[in-house]
Amino acid sequence: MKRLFSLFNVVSAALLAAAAYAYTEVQRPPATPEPPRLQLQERQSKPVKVYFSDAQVQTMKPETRSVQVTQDSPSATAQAALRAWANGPQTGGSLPVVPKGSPAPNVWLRGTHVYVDLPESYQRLRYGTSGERMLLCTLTRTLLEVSGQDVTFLVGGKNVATLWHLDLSEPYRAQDCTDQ
Amino acid sequence: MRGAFARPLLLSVALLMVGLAGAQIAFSRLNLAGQQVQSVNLYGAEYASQGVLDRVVRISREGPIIRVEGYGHVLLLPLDEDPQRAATTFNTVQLDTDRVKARTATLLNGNLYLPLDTLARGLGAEYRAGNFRVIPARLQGVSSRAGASSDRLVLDLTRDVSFSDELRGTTVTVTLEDVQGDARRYTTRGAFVPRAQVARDGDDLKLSFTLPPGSGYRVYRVVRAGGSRLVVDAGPGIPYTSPALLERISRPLIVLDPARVPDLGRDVTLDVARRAAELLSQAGWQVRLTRDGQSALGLNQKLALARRSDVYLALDLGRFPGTDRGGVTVYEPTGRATAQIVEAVRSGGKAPYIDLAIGGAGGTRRLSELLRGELKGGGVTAQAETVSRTLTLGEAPQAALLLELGWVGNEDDRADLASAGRLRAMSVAVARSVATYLTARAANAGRTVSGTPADGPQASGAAGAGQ
Repeated sequence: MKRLFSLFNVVSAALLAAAAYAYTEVQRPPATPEPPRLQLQERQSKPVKVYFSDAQVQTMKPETRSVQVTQDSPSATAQAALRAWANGPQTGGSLPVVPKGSPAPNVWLRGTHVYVDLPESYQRLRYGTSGERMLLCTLTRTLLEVSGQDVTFLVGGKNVATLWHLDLSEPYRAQDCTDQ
Repeated sequence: MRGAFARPLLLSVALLMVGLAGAQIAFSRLNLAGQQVQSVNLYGAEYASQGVLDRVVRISREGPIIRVEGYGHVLLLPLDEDPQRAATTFNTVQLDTDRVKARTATLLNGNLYLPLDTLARGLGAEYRAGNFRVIPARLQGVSSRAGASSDRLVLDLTRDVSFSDELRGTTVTVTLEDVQGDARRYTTRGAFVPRAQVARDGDDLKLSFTLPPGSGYRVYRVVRAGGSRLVVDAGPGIPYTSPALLERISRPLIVLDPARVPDLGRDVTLDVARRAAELLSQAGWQVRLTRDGQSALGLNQKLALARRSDVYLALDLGRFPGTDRGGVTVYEPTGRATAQIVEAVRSGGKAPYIDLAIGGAGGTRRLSELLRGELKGGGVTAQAETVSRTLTLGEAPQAALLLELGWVGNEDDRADLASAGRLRAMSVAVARSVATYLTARAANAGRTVSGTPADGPQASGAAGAGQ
């Protein structure tokens, strides 16, 4: 009579038991993930320098403003600064660069380069050359105060040669926007 | 037993081969135009690396050809990557216009090496093993020969040099670059070029003489062993040729670019541009406007016109919400020009007649002063300001200005712009300043313009008549 607990039988039984355990394990439904808890992002206040025009459209006047941001990143700060720019100055002696209620441009940062997408409605403003320079240069100086080395302007998401008179084919740097 | 001999024999042969190879490439010292540098003896010929030779000549690689430029010569050496073959004199190299058999360029450890004897032969330098001496360029003398239909001036030089020539008015100037020599006057027996003058201009020498009426001139070099000659022939026997640029200055193009200003009622920029164009056209000037009442040129057409212009004048009105600014302003463009060629020349590029193709900032400043002066004469006070990054002004190769006629938001300016007299005064100021500027520019280049100096007063007269 052959032995019941031969080596072959024992190993086979162990393998069978392991297979049965593995089968039950894979059949077990996955644990239901916990939904993320809703956390209200805390807004924090950041000081930024926003530039506007003087009454004679000749020099740029800075105004230190406190903007609310939810992330402490240059990109968020730059976007908040442009919202403050579009809302206009709060002190006397400065002029808003775009009419009240105009949308703020969108801004992106890529390394040391800043990209600004001007809304298409800006094309209808039709400023003179000094007015156009004031629009582009107040934006440039406001953004370069936050971060970056140069500012490239797009209109409606597209590269354009000019808005009305000035060359937009190359980025604007701080030296393009010195006060006259 | 055989194996015991074979191993030392092989080792000996290998050592011998290494020794022989080492003997073919050896480092040595070279005196290169007064500087101690390292050279390489390659199969019996002395070579120097590109890094060393860059101090005295300009070397560039154009595919398999090495181009060497210096001392008025251009050498083309094919690159042979086999040093042994490159060091033989069976290679064909080009020395200026001659193709000769000589050693050529090669690579050692990836670095470019050039044969010194071939370079000396092509550049007119003196070379002995270990010593490469460049003869200083010097004007040894000027001789002349009188002919029946032309006179000849011969400039004897110690070696070949770069030169350029220009005709401005009736004066021919031949510039010899980096040449030593005495500044002095020469008289000849010739009927057409009785005298010539050699003057120093920085590192260069300039030979100048007056070209008689109905005459032409030509300049060419004769390179000989041990020296070089520059020959200048001038007289009625030589056909008169003139660069197209010089012809163009006689018929300049004036471009007036009036901006379209909405919501003002009257198109004042177009009014001023039209009237100024009319005055200039009557005086014989060539004027183009970028728009009329109905249609306007596209941006690309406008830029193309700006690039062809001799005077580009943009007319605009100041517009900005909320400002009370007023007054007339003349803006001069500053900073980098958008056109690369304009920027390259204004940053110091030099070539004969280049100032006729691309003017410096001085022309714009001169036109700005003239325009403000003429405006003042017409009772209009204009401020001067600068503006950077303007697209059309940056493309204009010559004088370019922006004239802001007033500000839309300013009550006084609106009242002024409604006055026909003020618009007429501004048109006349534009026409007069442009005509005066272009006439003076042509006179400086020794030419007359279609609104010729004789017509100049007429231009002013026509402008004056408009007032």
